Amino acid sequence: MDQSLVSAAATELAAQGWLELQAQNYTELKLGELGTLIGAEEAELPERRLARVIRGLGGSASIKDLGSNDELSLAGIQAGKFARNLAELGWASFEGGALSLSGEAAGGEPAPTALETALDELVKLGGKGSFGEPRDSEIAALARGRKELLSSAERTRRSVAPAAARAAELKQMWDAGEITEAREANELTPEMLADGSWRDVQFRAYDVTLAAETPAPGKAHPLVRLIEEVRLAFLELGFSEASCPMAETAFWDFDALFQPQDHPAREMQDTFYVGHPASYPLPEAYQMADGSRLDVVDNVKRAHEDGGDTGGRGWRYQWSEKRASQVVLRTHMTASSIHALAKICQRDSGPQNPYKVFSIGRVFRRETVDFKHLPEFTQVDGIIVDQNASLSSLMGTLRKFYERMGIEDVMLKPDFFPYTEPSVGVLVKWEGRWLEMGGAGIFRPEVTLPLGCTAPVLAWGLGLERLAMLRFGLTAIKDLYLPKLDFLKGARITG
Amino acid sequence: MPVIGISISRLRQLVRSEISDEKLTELLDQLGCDVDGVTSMLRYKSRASDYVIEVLPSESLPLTDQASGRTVEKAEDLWEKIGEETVVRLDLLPVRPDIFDAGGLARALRGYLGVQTGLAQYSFAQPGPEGRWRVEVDPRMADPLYRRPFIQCAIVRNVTLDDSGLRAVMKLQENLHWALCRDRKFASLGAYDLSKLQSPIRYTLVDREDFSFTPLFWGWRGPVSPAQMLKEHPKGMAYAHLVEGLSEVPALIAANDVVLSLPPVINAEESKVTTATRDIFLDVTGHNLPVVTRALSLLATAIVEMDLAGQAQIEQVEIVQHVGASLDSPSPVGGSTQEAGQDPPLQSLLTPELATETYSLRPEYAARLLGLELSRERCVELLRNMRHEVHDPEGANGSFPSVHGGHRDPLLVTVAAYRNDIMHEVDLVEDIAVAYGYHHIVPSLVPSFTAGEGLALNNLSRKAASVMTGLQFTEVLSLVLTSENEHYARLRREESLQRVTLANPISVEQTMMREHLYASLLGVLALNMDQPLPQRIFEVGDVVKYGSDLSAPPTAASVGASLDSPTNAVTQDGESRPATTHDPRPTELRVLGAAICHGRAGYSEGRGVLDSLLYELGYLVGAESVSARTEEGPIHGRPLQVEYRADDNPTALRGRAAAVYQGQRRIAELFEVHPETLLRFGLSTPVVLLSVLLGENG
Repeated sequence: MDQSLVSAAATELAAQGWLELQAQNYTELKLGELGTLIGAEEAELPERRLARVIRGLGGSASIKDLGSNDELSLAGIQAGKFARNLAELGWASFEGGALSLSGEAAGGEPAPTALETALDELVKLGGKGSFGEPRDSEIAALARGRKELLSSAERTRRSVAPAAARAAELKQMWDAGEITEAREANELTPEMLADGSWRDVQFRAYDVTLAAETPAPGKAHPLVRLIEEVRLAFLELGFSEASCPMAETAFWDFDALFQPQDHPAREMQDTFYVGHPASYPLPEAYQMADGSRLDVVDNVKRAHEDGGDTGGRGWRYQWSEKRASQVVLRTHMTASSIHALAKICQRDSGPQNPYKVFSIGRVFRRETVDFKHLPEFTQVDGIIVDQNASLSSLMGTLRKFYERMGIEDVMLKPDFFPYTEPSVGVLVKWEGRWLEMGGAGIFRPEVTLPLGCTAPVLAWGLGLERLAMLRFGLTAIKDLYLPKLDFLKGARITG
Repeated sequence: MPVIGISISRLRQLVRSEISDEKLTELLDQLGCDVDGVTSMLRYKSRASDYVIEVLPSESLPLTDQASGRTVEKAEDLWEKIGEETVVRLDLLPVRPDIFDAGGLARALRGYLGVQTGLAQYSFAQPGPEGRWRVEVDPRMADPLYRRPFIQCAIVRNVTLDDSGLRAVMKLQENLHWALCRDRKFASLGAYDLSKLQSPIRYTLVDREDFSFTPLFWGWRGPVSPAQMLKEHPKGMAYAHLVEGLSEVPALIAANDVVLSLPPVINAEESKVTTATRDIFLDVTGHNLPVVTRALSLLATAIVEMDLAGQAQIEQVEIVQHVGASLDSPSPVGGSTQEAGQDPPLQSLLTPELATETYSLRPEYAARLLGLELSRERCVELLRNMRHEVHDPEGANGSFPSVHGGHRDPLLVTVAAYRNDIMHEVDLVEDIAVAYGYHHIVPSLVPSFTAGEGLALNNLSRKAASVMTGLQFTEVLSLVLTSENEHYARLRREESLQRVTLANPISVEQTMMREHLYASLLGVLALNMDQPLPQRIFEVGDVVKYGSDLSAPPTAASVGASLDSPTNAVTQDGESRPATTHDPRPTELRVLGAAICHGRAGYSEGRGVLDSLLYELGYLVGAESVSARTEEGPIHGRPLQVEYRADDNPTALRGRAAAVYQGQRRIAELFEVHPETLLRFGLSTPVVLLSVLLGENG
């Protein structure tokens, strides 16, 4: 019978209280390689055989001669290996590469040694077995270091017996014929289904508390999941999605957003400029839907220089078309929002209708790589173009948006951005601390009017990495873009 | 952004209001300051110079006194503690240099709290018995070579400064240099002890070698030449680039030959401001006149505001220079005087002017933009709280509307000279909102209905990603920026001639935009060598290249030696293109890339995955089918016919690479990675790579 089945059944019955399992430790003695070989009649040590051969050779022999002795090699006895033992037994002296019999062995066969007696006893047991203590331990001690003759191992003997507490009950059930033989199966097989034998078997109950191997599902990246959440929040709130190229003119990244050309953010220090392609043409003047002509570039130029028709005084410097045509890697997704706004105004002067637009994408800042900074990160930017929009509706929208992102505790305070006025800083409460989470505001007239937009434009943006790091308990932004697979596989989709 | 610690007790004294630390922090937040927290600040004075530093209790003292250059082994030997106070730490907002110090902040807070509203008035002190102080400008200063044609000066009299006040004045100059003067490029400021000086002060040039003076805090060292100072003094070394190549450098020297400074680099030791100074002389020099004017207004009024005794007063200084030296000079006083035999004529100006600017503000516009019910009177009150003066042309009884063709007269708002951030009516609208309190504004929503719509490319990307996750691939993200070594050399490819490169990379690892996703994917695998196999990963990302499919871009080898760069191209009539030609735009492509990495990863596993993906994306692989189309995009309608072709791909094992074509368009690739490439990425397991084009971005 399969021992594992017996063992499994016994364990189960013991767990139910019907049987008692007993385990007993014992020492198992076993003849070694040479022990078996010589264990025909009476056990003898290889040393005894060796002494006998030497005696036949006149009481003394060199190791070299013994090495070529047929009797010894047939028995697998290497003289060199036992020379020292022979000396220790006092049966021979070992000098100058030669063994000379001495003491008891010089005269004839020495008396049996204690080890030989033990081997004898074991041979009688069939070469393997146990004598019980303390004899087992004595023998094991005698044979220490002589595995070739005898080895010992610790074993456990398991036995089962009806549990004393339930023995009477068991007997009663047996007598009443309540215990019958049944076939038990581990698995339901197609054959059982086909031949109906599933009816005759009992399926072994499993220990359902035990774990099995857990497969790793394929998963979206945690940051991508967050991006999808943000997309969904925006779409649910009635926003349409927009995008813009990663490499675009400084005009759309800075100038159209009224950032003066000497603004520190535009310096080579902070913004990646593209070497090839170095510049793109600026947008041509175009016909608006209402038939009027709009020269966005000229309007932006004048807004910077003296305010143009925007009602402001401008930055008061000479605006350079060349600097505006330089290609940069977008530094914020507001570049996409302003692009989208220009397109909206071209289609719908004013515009007359309300619009809500959002963009999510990779942005670039010229930062040295460390655990907190990478030259790339992901930003989301949203705008609402509406004749009725106001700072109050911006605040309401921000609260609604962050609420959708699972953040209820939001503080809105004055802040500064070059392209919004009024501007709003967004702080959110995370584990008791206020953290800066994003910026918002109403686009300045110097931003909207050059595009032909007379409606107020609410705008806000935030970087997603900070949110992702808080949510996934990361300390380094690197973990998102240079990811370890155990983190990706471990990050819960509900996290 | 610099952080500044403002003494709370000083601020409370200056605000003239008993407000708690907590309330103060809250108020500063409401005003738009970025409050970093409240902490105590320790003040130490150097034993080697009289340089003063401030450190947080958590910070350790420096072992070197920056001013004297003295270095010690134990900081205690160098620094003597002279004070400790509780400060509120603020992240400075570059657009509001008028609230960089306790004086300016107090000015704003008094208005916000209603302690003192309307325009801050600064009456000018009359010159003393010695007459008006004068600065004479060397005509050579007008030369653009010296980069600082403009100078404006002021005197602040009756100032009482303790160590803390002295430190505050220095710190303010430092921060104005940062925020307003673009690290001294546009302008630079200086403050001096007037009692050490005699009028007139010359703004002139001195020889770089043949002149000697003692730089600030270098009393222990003694006089040096400007050249030595630029080479050895910490400030000299930091700002030497601003006077690079000049054999003569700008200097301010008093009539008694006391040196004030060598702008924009350093002041002189002999005229420095100390706690004993009562009257301070201020100068601003530079090439950007609005900045020069603004910086002087800011510094002079801030020092007046800082004075605890409230006795300080500004006195104007006469600047005498040749007409034409400044392009847009402040209003001349007494007209220009032409002296016989001198050309060009001299002009005399009084500075600081502290000129205000006036803006119109429509209360209805403010109310509408803020979404608030705001009366005209409330607007006036709120603007005065922000320290503006308001004139209502409708008179004191402005509450009775005088209607002019349906429009009411706007308010006329006078803005102080020190405000650097007002350039449009809308900036005053924000001031109204701040004074009203953002926290008092009730949030609302725009009532209009709009229908949302996602970008088709992003929708498709997520669908494709869901196929990959269904196939048990893990999604990864990586950087768009890469390097030639990573992108080409490691992949055994030649550099693309059309790659999009950075003009100013910050590291050798990010010098260009990626053209494919393979290097990123192998990079991620290399990072995960310690993780169990098999590894199956994918990325949906944007790549940037010329051309609208996955075809390999041209390399030097592929186009031969006869390559002309586009700017050198010659038109058919043999004429060169104009030099102003712009570059053609590359395409930004959305690509799905995947990698399979385990001991037995091979082409056939990749082929199964790619076919599965192509099927889901609406392609039909194999023999021509009647149901397949040959044109138009995938997904909708009938599937699009594509075919596999053997491909010659240097990153692949020979004979183990395929490209998938839809007509002439290369829409997908699949290959076993060449062992050399694996080794170059440090990988010790076979990898199969594939990529599929999803579409064009933008």
